[in-house]
Amino acid sequence: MDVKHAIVVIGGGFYGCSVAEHLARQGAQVILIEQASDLLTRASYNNQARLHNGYHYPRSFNTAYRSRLNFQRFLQEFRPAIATDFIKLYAIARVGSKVSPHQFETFCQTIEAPLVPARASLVKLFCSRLIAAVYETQEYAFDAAILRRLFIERLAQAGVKVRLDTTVTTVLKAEDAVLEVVDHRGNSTLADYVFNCTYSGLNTIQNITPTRLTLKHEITELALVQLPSELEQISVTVMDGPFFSLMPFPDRHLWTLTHVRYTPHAAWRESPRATINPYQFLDANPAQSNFGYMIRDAQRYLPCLEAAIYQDSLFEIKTVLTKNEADDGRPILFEVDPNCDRIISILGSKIDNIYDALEAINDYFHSI
Amino acid sequence: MSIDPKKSDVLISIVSPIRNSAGWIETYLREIHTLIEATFKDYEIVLVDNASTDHTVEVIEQLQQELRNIQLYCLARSIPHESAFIVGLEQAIGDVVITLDAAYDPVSPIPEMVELVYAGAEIVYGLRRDRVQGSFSLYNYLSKLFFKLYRQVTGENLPITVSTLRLYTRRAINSFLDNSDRYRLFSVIAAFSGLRYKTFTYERLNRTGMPIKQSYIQAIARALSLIFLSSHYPLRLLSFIALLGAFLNVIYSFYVLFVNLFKSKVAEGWTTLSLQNSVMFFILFMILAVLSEYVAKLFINHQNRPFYLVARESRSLVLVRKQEINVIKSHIETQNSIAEDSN
Repeated sequence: MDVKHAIVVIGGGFYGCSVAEHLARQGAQVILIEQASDLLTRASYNNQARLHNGYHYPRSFNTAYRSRLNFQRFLQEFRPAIATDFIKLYAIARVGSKVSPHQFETFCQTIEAPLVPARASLVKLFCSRLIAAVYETQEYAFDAAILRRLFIERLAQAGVKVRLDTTVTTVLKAEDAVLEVVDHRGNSTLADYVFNCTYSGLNTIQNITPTRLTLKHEITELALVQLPSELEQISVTVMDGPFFSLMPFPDRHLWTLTHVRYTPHAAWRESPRATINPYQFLDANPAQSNFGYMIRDAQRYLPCLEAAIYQDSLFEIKTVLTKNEADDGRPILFEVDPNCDRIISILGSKIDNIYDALEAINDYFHSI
Repeated sequence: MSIDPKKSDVLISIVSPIRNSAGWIETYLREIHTLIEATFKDYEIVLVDNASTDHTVEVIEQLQQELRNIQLYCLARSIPHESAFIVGLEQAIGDVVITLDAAYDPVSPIPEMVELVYAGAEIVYGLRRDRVQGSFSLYNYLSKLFFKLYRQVTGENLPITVSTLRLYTRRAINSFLDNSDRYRLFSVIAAFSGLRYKTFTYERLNRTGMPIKQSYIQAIARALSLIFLSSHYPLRLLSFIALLGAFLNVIYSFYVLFVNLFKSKVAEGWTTLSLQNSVMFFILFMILAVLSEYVAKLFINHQNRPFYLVARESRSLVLVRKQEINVIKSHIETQNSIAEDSN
């Protein structure tokens, strides 16, 4: 970018922050607007904190391969925020898994992801009737609180102005192809470009055309638990079907327990007419924890989980594009508003896919 | 495991196998859901669709939009009805699991059954009133007779006239989940654990609206299968008979010697020879029959192929419920009014 554009980025999650910093480092005047009172408080924080290294996508090679590439890059860039001091186990279920141990091994070989059979002392933690194979892998977790601190520094360095506690309500087209971003207090900010990185709120800003693709929102629950001593520093993911996952949650020194069957509490597809604001929906419908269901099922596979101690749960909205539910792939959405080519909506997905988004932004500015 | 009644976090699973029940499954689900929702905090209703060929699955998936915690497992091919109970028991996550034949068992005894667990039972068996004290029927009589015989033969402590409406605690279930014959032993398997049980009697009903078919041939096949899978007694009996036959042979040899020594006029011996042959062959063939039964059993187990396959699984994802829509609407309205105020 040669010209000094004025750019407003809406949404201070991981994607919004990254986009804002990226643009500012290329010379733009960037203002980042976030409705919460801090950055990275919603889905970027209330999250499994898994830094994907491909293992999770045996049914989507493309996603798995990109994931491996981005893993290294993310690791280098955000090293202080990455927790590596745990053993990551992937277990393949005997019944009901969409992938067999042999397939999984072949898959990992193909994407060159490190994979070794787990040591006997770890294998015996699992119920052999239900688990066919256990592997030790290389996968890490990120600490969202450290990530937030890193971003506050980086945004300041890049010269991004951050406005917290501000909700954008509408984007108006002023004269001379300038955009006017209006917030809930009625204040307006002028911009040449607007990046909408509001994730679940993607379709909630007036005058930004809703995305052509259908969004699916899901109320999800992550249970925070204290693990028994046998599982100290061990993270487990059971593949590939209606099973569970245990990941470290470094900021609270706890572990998240998620279950494919019980983590989603309710889901709805966004219809073009009746848009429910997902964030307001979540606030208005406090969910009852499904921890009891999660732990009882997980215990069947890992009997020692009986001694896990429940702390509390994180409820959050997860938004995905409906076309990719079948293969679990998570491409990001990058859409230029059909009525105004200076408004761009980005729907983030996995945290390490950010580099794909930044590339798309570069391409966008090259092409105009 | 004894369950503390004051501890509210006991999870109840209700397991029912179903097949081609599109006509009445909704009635059942609404009935059980109303009762369970009112009585327990945490529950799941597990349905094992035994490869229905009608639109049972669609009916249930429609209801999952409305009723909470209905867990449906659809089997790819149909398996015996009793085996489908075990499939459900394997999939259930409850601390207490109730098996219930959705076509015939009432839901009303469930709270009473759970009370019995609070009182210390690990297994609760429902006894059918018509079998306990009903008017005479040959089928019921033979069924009773069989279970009496079964108790004698196996020495298992199983109540006679036991039905499909039962309750197991997690401990009772875990005791038989590793048994490789479990899919064929639903009627009796829990008794192997020797855990404490209680019984109650109840009246069966019929939700299907169709007459109940009683097939003697199938019942006899089931009875034989139960005996052969859960007891070594027939084999032991045959071993005994074989030994007896051998012993008789020895006596017979002495008899032949005796005749030879003390009788001057020895008959041609045609009668004794043919008698000996027929007895020996009878014993040999009996032995072969029983051995082949056990060999077949070993063979089936040795095949080691998965006994069932869950082709599809779905779960209640209750969307925006009526009262929730109201909340949302009012919420959005207040938001709008705030926006208007600020304008």
